[in-house]
Amino acid sequence: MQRDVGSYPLAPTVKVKLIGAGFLTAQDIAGMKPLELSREAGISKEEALETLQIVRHESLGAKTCFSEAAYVIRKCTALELLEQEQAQGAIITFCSVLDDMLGGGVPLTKITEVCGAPGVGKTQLCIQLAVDVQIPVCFGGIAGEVVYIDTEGSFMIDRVVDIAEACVQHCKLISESHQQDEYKEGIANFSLDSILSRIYYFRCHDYVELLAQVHLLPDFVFQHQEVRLIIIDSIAFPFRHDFDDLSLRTRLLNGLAQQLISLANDHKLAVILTNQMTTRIGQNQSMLVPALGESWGHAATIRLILHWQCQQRFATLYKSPSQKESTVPFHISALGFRDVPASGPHLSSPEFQTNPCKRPRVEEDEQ
Amino acid sequence: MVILREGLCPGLTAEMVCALKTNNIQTVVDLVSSDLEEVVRKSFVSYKMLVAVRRILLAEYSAFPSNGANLYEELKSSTAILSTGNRNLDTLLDSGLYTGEVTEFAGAAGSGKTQVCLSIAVNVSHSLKQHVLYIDSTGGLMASRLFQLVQVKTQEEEEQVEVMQRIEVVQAFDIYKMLDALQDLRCSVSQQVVSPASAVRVLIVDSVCAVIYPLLGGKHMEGMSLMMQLGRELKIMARELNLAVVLTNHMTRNINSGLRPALGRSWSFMPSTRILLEKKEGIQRNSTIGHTATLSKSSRQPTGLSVGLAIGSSGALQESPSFVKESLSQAGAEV
Amino acid sequence: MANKKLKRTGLSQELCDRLGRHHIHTCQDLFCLSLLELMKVTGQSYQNVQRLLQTVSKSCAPRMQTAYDMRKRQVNDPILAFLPTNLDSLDKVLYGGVACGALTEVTGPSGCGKTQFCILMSLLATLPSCIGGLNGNVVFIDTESTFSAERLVEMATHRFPEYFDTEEKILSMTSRIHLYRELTCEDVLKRIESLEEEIISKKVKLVIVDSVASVVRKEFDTQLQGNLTKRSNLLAREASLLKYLAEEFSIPVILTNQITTRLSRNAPRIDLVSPADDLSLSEASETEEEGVRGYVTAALGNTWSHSVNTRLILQYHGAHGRQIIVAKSPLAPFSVFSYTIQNSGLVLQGEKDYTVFSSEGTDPGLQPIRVRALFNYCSPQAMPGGRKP
Repeated sequence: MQRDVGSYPLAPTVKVKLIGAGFLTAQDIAGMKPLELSREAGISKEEALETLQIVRHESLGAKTCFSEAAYVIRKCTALELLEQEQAQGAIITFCSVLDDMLGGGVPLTKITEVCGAPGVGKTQLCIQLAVDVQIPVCFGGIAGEVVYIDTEGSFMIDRVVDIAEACVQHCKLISESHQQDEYKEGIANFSLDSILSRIYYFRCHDYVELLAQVHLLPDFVFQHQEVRLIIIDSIAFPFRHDFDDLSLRTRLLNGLAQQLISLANDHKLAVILTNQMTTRIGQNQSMLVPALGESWGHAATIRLILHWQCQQRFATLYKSPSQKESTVPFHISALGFRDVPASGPHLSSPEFQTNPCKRPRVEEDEQ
Repeated sequence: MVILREGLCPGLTAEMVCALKTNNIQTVVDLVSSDLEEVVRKSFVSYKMLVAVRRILLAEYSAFPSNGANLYEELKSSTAILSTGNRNLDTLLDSGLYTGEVTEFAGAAGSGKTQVCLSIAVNVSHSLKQHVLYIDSTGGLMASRLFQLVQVKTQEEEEQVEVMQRIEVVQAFDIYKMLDALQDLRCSVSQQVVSPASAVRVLIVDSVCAVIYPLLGGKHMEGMSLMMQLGRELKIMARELNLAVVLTNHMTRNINSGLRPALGRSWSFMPSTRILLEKKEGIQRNSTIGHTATLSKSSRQPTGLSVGLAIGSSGALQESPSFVKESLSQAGAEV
Repeated sequence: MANKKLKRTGLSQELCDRLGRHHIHTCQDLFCLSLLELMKVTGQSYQNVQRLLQTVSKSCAPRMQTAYDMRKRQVNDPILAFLPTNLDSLDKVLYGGVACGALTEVTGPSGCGKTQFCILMSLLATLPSCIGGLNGNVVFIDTESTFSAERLVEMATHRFPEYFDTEEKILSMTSRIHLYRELTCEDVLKRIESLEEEIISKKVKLVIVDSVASVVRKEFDTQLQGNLTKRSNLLAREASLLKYLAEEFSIPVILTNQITTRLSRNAPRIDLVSPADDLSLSEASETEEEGVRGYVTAALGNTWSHSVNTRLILQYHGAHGRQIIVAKSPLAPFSVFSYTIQNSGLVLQGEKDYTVFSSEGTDPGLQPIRVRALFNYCSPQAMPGGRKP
């Protein structure tokens, strides 16, 4: 119990008074009663009670929902953690090679970052996942709800409707071919309307609104226990302009990351963030790297980079705690995110080419 | 420091405590550093009693000097050197992690810090049969990956289960939770809840930077003070509980000086050994040595030593001869 | 929302005063402090500070809506979601036309028809909803002084002859288009900032900025250090302001952009200033010299490409054909249509039913654009039968 009084989350004035009265370690305080403490240290009775509760790790009287987890140190052996991990599912995209690369799909309790050049399909992936997280358990999904925080305004409801309808269709085909009761039940709850009504949409116009919304997320998730996915599209946009103070930006972003990973862990949900690409001017070349700086690279557990290569879209797993780095091709059709169709011309994984091809595929009529 | 209270030592009565308090002497430090004659003049305490009390308190609370020979003997008997599981890394660390010291691995994103930490945890738990406490603050720990590494080491199920059970995991995503976790460890050792055989030998914190970044900056210095408190906790625990502490740190990019470890100069005094991990760019997919580790601060080896690390599907662990993997040739350590 | 005063967020007066003494007056200031700083400034413990942040967040955070509500709202007011471009195949692919509440960028070499497209859209916005317009006013911010009122009238009379049969109707249409000529970046930014009041007072239903690129490229030389960031900041600010206006008022915003040459990967990117150079650009893109393979693409860089929601590229095709490419869109796949410019504006060529949905394409930021080839000027078929742009 040698912990410094200064390292507890007490109010600064209370800390100052306690230290001034000679209470320097937790041991000094632990055995005391509130009245005694308040008299000796010159603090009010409520402050004394609060101090004792914090030092003794008891829960406070009127606690809000999320602070319940605050004082519980979750310690478990790696074996227990393994069992937990194996029991939880993953969110599938409909692109099987991508799912394989990710080890089954987008994992829960982790932050996944999707970076890419504009127009490569980040928002499409987000919308696909927002629909896929709701797939009933009998079809291999996790039957969850989704919080979609939009900072760019690229969430188009028509596209969501298309993708949702395609997904429902897909599941209907499966249930028809299997003819079991659980499938019928599953499909009964899974319709376009039900999908749309389980997507909770927030439009944030600047970083203050984004920060405020993330502060409110723990309460929201506590009230909507079925939420299994949080999407922020994109986290880069509100932080990339009007920020002269880069250290402030780093601090805010890191704080955000810690809040999100804490949320993901407590409630067993997945967090997806989309990021933009920026040009970094090296010694003699300029390359595209994910935006938001060097320290942001540590925030996400899994980093996926989407890019173009010669008229084909590819996804590279750039950082992952358990999967190997690799690149797979994918395809965005009118139905959403899919595998590259077998008849497509480009199937081999690419080596790095210096330039994308010059002309788009267009019929050329000679004069 | 301890507050003066009645019964703290023989001769310290309630009246004496009150009298001292009126003279603004509240703790042992105050008493020991005050002018006793002044005190006696101002209050009605007997001089002899006061001197006696002071002598007892000094004897009880001051630190004992010990000579170098004793210290050396003590160190020899209590320090253990724990292998990391990777020969090259061990060479860099002068044969392994020393208990009682703090070792830091710094690297950019994707440079392999978490993999190195996981490998160390598995190796210590399996080969050395010691307990490991892993404090995760970024969510980068996946038990399935840990299990993969365990499977590299041993194929027997029972042994695997044992190895996994010796690794304890705590998720702490902000500074207060991390301090709580450290205190919890201290308490469990001091109260001898666990037997010495199952005491934690290695404490891995991945990563320290993630919980401290949100505190730094701004006009006030509280963030820095919490950072230093955390650092001090880790160092004291390493020494008192005989642990080897392993930390990970990020890198920041400065316009002038390029990439350097985060958390600034104040933090750089904290670990006794600092290793920078780097991923080599432009490496082909099937090459073995894709990462380099460079010694940037050490009290035993010359700095600037650099070795290659192969961090692949078996983490940073050395393959045991029975476990065959395609195209794995070990290049020697580069100096 | 960022500038919301703390007094109105539900905090106690005493707390607001205390924060005010430390110069924390708005929500933004509050969120920029770290937790420890907040503890120090308010004198509260960690738990209380968390509660404080919750209270302030509740007043700052956006409103929740489910996708279902959004869909219902859209179904009930279907017309307001898009501004049809009157180019049928393009409208079909874009699910109705130029999206309301989003930024659409039109880019291409000079003379390809960007300003024509803008004039056409401003005409369409003033039409009554029965013919497919938005029945509203238009704000046209012109930085290149290329807006021509005669052309507007000509398009109107040729495209909708039955509607514009009287002088009066033409006059009322032209009076609904408000033209502003801005020549510097500062002026453009100021104009955009003052748009909010205009939109409300004049019931504006479409905002066009033609062109964003010209002023920015004239004033910021990216070879100079620091200019690149200043330029990006300015553009990002413009983009976010325009997005905010587009969404709050549910109106479409159309911007035009220019082109630049991008050389091969290992050489720094060169920004050529004036589109008058596109004769030389075309040479560069046609030749394949060793190591210097260049191609023409949209200007203003990568970050700008992220800020716009939809990107339409106009390019030349063959001797005097032109094409419009949907390069980036959250709704539409990559598609290409041919068109020509005639008296009535842009007219699509080709089959009526363009149902081939190609899913290929390239990075819209790197989409190569064909400029007019040099040698064609000398051929007898050079001059298109239609009108000169």
